[in-house]
Amino acid sequence: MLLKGTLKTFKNKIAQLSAIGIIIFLSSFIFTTMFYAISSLEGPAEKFFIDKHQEDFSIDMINGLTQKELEYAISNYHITPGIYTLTNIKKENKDLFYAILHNREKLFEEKYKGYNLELREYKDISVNNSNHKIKIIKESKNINIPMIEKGKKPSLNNEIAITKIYAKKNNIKLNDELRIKEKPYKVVGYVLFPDYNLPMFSSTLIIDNGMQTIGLVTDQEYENIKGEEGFHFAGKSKGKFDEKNFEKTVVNEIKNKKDLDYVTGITSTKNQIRSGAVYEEIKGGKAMSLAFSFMISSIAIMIVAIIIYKLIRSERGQIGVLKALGYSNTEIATPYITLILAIALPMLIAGYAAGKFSSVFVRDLYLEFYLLPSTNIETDLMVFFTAILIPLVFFIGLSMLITKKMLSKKAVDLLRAGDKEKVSKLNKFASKMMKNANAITKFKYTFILNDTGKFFVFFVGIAFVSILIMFALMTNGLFNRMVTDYYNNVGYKYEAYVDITKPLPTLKNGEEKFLLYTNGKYKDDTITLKGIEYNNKLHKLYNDKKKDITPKLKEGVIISKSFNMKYGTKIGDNIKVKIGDKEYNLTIVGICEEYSDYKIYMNLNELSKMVTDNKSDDFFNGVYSREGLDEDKYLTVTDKSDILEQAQLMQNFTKYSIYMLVIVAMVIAIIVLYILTTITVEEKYYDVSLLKVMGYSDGEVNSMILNSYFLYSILSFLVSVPMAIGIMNILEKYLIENFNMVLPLKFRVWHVFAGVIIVAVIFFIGTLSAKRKVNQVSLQEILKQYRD
Amino acid sequence: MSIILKNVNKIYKTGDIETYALKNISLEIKQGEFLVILGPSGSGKSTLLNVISGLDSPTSGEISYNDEIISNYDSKKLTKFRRDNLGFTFQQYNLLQNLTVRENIEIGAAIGKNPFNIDEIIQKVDIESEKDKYPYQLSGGQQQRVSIARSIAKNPNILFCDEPTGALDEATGKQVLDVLQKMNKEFKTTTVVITHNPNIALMADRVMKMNSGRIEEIVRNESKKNAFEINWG
Repeated sequence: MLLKGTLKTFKNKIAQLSAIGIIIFLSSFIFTTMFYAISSLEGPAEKFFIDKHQEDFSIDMINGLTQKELEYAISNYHITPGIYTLTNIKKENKDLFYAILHNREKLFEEKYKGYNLELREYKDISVNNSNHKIKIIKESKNINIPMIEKGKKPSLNNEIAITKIYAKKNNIKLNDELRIKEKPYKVVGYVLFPDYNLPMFSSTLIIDNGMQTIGLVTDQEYENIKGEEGFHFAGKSKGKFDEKNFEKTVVNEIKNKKDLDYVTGITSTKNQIRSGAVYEEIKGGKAMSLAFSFMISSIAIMIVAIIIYKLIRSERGQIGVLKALGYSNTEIATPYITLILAIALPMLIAGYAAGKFSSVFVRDLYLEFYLLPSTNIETDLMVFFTAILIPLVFFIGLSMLITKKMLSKKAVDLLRAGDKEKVSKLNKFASKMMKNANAITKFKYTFILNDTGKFFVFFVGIAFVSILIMFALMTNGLFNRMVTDYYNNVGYKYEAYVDITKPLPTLKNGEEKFLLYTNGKYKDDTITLKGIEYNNKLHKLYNDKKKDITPKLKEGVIISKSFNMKYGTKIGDNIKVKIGDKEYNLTIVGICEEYSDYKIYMNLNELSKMVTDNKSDDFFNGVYSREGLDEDKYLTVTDKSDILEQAQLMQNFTKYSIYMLVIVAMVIAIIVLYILTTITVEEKYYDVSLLKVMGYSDGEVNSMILNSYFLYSILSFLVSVPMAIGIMNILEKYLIENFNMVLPLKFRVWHVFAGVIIVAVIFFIGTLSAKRKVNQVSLQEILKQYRD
Repeated sequence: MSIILKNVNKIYKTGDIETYALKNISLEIKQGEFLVILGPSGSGKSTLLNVISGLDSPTSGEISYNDEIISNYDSKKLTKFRRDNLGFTFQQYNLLQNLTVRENIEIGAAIGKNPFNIDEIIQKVDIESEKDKYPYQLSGGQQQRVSIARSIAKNPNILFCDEPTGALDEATGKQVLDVLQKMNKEFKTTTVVITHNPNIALMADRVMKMNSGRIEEIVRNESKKNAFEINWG
């Protein structure tokens, strides 16, 4: 009987309860989706990393010879003194190459006995007649062993294994043919490498697995295939890897004592983007989904608590009668709690079920970017309990607490006409602040503050949503800044690297030379130095005001924005940079808007002199051109439109992610506003009627009741702006410190205007129903009040 | 401002059943008059107040204010009419809880064409010492005085009071009635009071008795008493 009565009350609130149901659904849905998706990657990934001996760290080294190595090479292998890169030594004299590398390995292992090293050799190659790239990695024996997901390992020189996702995206099946450098290869397997679970092939953040793949061929074929070769050491601890101890005893020691002079950098796996990003993705994904669903659940729980409180308060007369008739508190409370349970439980279960279903798509989305093995998504009781039981306990617990508190009053007190509504401290404070405002303005902007709980939910809800919106806006154009802007600003179309084992090519009209030196050192970090001519036409440098600052190279060096962000160096600073064994003092004369690398631009002649030890001021290793370059003449030729095409795909992905985030945020905000404003109109029913009777028009009453929500929505949004910027700064710092990566999230003043417009739209949609309710309040309501 | 009602009917329909809430009411209320409408519950006095004041429309008949017929006004026009001419006081005080006494009165004055000085009104209803208090800090009588002050502040031509002392005890009820009487006297505000308390009728210029939606009788009060002279019953 009591349940029937309460059900009737709930029916009157069906729209608000359905809206709250959507929020409850969302909290469970987001949590379940993300947790199942991430868990389905985490388990198999961990097993893969252990089974295939994922490196604990990697060592980058100079792609040249140290003084000692040069002396060793001259005396033992009779080479003529000069500049040698490891790449050309390997081409000219394999024995010498391996002797040097073996020696480097030995030097490290003898000094740090707890660790083993293994040489990692790889070549970056273009797939035939396309803008696709393949990174062929030579098979290792002890560390980073490749895993064949399907098919077999290549055993013949015309066989290759590639990634499953690349094969899928390019409709390549096992035993199909793949042409690389005109040579046909038979795809015999799908391969994964534990140290390349994010295919970062260059400093540009392009990880499109449909256009690039990792490949495995036989060792013999690896040596035959022509491509830009790179080397580093993969390292593994003999015992359990202790990252802190490693930092202290190895990384810092090498940095401080300048020991092992071939080392340019040591990075532990978890701090290495290509292998460590996934750890952060799993950790961050879990934390984000937990925080996101916790926030949404909290909003839902608080709104349910408000609704229950208001319901019981409005029915206190009836409850008083029931108590007077002899019904116990439990008997009266049970229908309320049962109905809350009846709303929350199905929505949580529906959210869980939908979440489990959609987790497959999210997992597949992760696998679009990460090269990891995956398994089917199995039911996990922990996820089930966390997604359903924990929020349910809070919903029921809080509802019970409120009900118990309200029912603890005596029947006679409940039967007495309405409690006097006290004025909150916040209301009084705001009223004082508006000392000189008229009564209408005061009413407008203070009554919302009288219900502190409701105001808190509203303010926090809007602030939470605003942070998401601001974050989405600041992410806007991320890929433009990181990749596209750079390539759009430069005048060249093709970029080629010279094979320095051959004589330097003669440049045609319109072609321009440059010198890229990737082994510079600044504050123990490896940095890139690029020499271009100060009056060049194909690679201009622009500052943040889009002004051409290339001619400034006559006066000093120009640093990239990422260099400036990482090291905090400014125009006018003098920096000490090491090239080989020599240290140079450079003056910063400009900062160019480039985020792709920690780069210092210099006048080509200057850098040439530094790199060649004053032997040449005309040395170069790369060429820019507007016209196509002869691939046979150069080691590699890159068409910038290929990179731009890849970047476009990444941009689209971020763009859609931003849209999704903004839409989800808007839906949450609209629901919060809808529920709270309609509750407000219901509460202020008699005030609305009274104001209308007094002669205030519908428009005026609407403005008096609802406009404060707009003002406080904007205020909440404005409060969230510095919070969003703060989070952005922390994130930027975290990424620089842990991944050596600059994520150029940008705050622009227009973001605030855009945010205000979005909040205005949210307000307009969210308060539509409340406005209609205000207009529907009849004049006679005021008379009914005491006759009801 | 005088009010004239000609053959006013108000019929409520429930399915096929028609109920007459007001039956053929014709009445004239003169400028500055203090009229008390008496009647038991269900006699139609509140319905009459609703239609006279434009809160509800009559089913038939005509209501005019100084020759201005309002019974066929649309809701916008009626709102404007109420705004410019009418004040209301109800049994429940309906004060805006988040505003102080002074601010509540300001809300009433804000829409008047020629409002009274708020401090003067506060003084008249004898709530000077409470003007910065919030409604929850006031007694029922004080709240009702604020409610009257709010309705009078805009300087209305007519003040409608629906059971203004219905929720009050004798002492505070008399104080409230005294305020109404003073307002009527000093500001010449036409005052229409609806009540079921026959003793209040002793304060009126005229008393109209209603029963079953009809006017039973209209009596002129020859010896008006002031609020503190009447018995409470």
